[in-house]
Amino acid sequence: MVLLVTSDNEQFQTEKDIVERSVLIKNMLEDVGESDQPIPLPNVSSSVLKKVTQPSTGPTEIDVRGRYLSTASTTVESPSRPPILEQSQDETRKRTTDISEWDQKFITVDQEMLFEIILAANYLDIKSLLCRRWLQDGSQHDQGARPPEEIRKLFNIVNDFTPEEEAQIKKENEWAEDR
Amino acid sequence: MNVHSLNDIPPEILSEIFSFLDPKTLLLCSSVCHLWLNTVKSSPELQYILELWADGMVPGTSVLTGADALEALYRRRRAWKRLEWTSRNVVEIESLFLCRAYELVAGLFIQQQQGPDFLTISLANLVDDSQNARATRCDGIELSNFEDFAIDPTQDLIVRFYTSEPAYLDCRTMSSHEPHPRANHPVFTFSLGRHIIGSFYIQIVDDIVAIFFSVPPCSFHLFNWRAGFMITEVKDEQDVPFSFAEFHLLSSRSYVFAHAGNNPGFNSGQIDIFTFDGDCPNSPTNIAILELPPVNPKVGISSMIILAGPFCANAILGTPFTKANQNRIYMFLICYDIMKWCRLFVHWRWLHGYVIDHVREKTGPTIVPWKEWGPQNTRMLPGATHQWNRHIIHGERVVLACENRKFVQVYDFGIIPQRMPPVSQPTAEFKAVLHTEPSTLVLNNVFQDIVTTSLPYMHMVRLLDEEYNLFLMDQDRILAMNSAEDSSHRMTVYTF
Repeated sequence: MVLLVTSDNEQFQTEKDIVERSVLIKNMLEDVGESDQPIPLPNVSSSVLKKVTQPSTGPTEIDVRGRYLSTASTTVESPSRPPILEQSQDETRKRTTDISEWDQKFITVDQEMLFEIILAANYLDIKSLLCRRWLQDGSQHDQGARPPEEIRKLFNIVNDFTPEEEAQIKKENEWAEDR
Repeated sequence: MNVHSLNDIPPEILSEIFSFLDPKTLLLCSSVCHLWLNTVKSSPELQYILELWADGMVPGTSVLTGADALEALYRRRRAWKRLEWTSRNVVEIESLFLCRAYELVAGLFIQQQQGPDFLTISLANLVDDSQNARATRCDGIELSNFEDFAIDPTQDLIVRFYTSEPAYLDCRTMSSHEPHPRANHPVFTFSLGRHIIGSFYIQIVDDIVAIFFSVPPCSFHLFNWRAGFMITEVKDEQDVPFSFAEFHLLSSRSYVFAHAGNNPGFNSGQIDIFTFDGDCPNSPTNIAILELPPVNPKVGISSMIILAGPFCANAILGTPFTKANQNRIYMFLICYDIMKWCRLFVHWRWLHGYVIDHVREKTGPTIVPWKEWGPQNTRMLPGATHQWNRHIIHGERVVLACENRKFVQVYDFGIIPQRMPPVSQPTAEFKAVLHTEPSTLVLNNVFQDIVTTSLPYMHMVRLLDEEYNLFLMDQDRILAMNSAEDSSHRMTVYTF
């Protein structure tokens, strides 16, 4: 067990193999060696740490990225272009659903929490938390990625394109629509 | 710590998150705001995801990353756009016009020679290590009743077909010629159910092997080679035998079956799409019937051949990228009456779309009249008699000989017209024409209505350094041969 201390001074007893998903903590533990000393995490609050260290049933980085890198047959495609080998496709679909459900749960935190988690994951160097498919989340259901307006709304992003620029980009990306 | 927008997180995290998106979503993200656009545009990794997708490819197994991978992709794209090969190698083979069986899959050219010898040419090695690219070995295979074989090097699989009674399939590894470890019963027998074997061919898609016999009454067998059983045997037992029929696996759970039609008097022809369960013996389900252009009374289809590239279950070893199985063009070579040939091109994704619809909505067999699918999604061009060679297509490209044997021609259906730079001025050596406008196929008195089709493609013609009359093609090269007796044992490999 490892003792972690958050920015708001809460202490957490955590399984070693869970905290070692964080490259930062793993390195710290290696540097310090066997020790009962608590590890301070000045950039992470207790509420965020709870989220970050909760036993993950979600995919690891390998899982998610692997689907893109692995093979011709199980490559990530937009849902309208499923893989050709339908047996593999079933597996992919199953995994996709798993991820989606996990994401769904994970994403049902408010926006502030979401960003803090991203930042904490970056600080702690937990790759698997950085790779959630936020932007694709909706696409599982409506068979298409979210349109830009919706992405903007979801993430509080101001559209800083001029109408001309926007039209230009739309034209440049037109080819992708039926692929 | 107060963060109010995703844009307040460091840009390097943003690009890390983006790297997990699928290409389509990534492209949409680039139209959200300047920061996101710049993040996508300035990252070679993210550009690579997009450009790879545009070329219909998926990452391979070599170690190229980021800017290097992107550069390799651009280089390859330029080479194919102008048919400018980067190396030319000549290699000895047994004449294709005489040999028993050969295959071209995943960078390997394989030939069962007249005797027991088995020739393997690693085409990728030809360029760097031509000494070791060519290997002949005797695997001591059983030669009596051996007819043909099929391979999937990405599964280390070679399936040999023997027409003894009973017939049998023999599934072995290509590397060591041992019984394949993934096959429960590496050798399994079945009843051919026909007396005349005639012409046939074998296809492997992942765990499925199909053998199709085209001589009427046509029949085909589907097997699950890993589990070692026959899924189904389909025989044409109609009262009126199909005057022609053709079969091609679309995926490991679906196939197309093209024929003249079940209704007496209806000779326009149709493409049926079927699905099946690959995990137990069962009968296929017809999910869609795509009608071909209506023909005039007394006109009929006398022959049809379906051609498409081979399937690979996994990425090809050692290549930076592999053509995705989804990005394939199907060529239906159709002969109306006598000698009125045409070529019908349609993308895999259009045909397979019916399978997806069926899986999603359990739709029954849909009859789709030509007018509803053909004009928009196909291109019908004049054709010519076809040789026996089935390896003229890979991905979305088709290679064909020209009347003038000094030239080679390539049809590319993988192009994205909106992204194409203006076509360069034709020269004596090279000419490319981008076809985005609808075209009308003229065959005297064949069709009821005018047949106009509009699938975009690029047609390229290049002068070669020698005369050839037979071409094969794979992802990275064109293989050229001449049937003249003194040169038919030589194969010239143009690598792009």
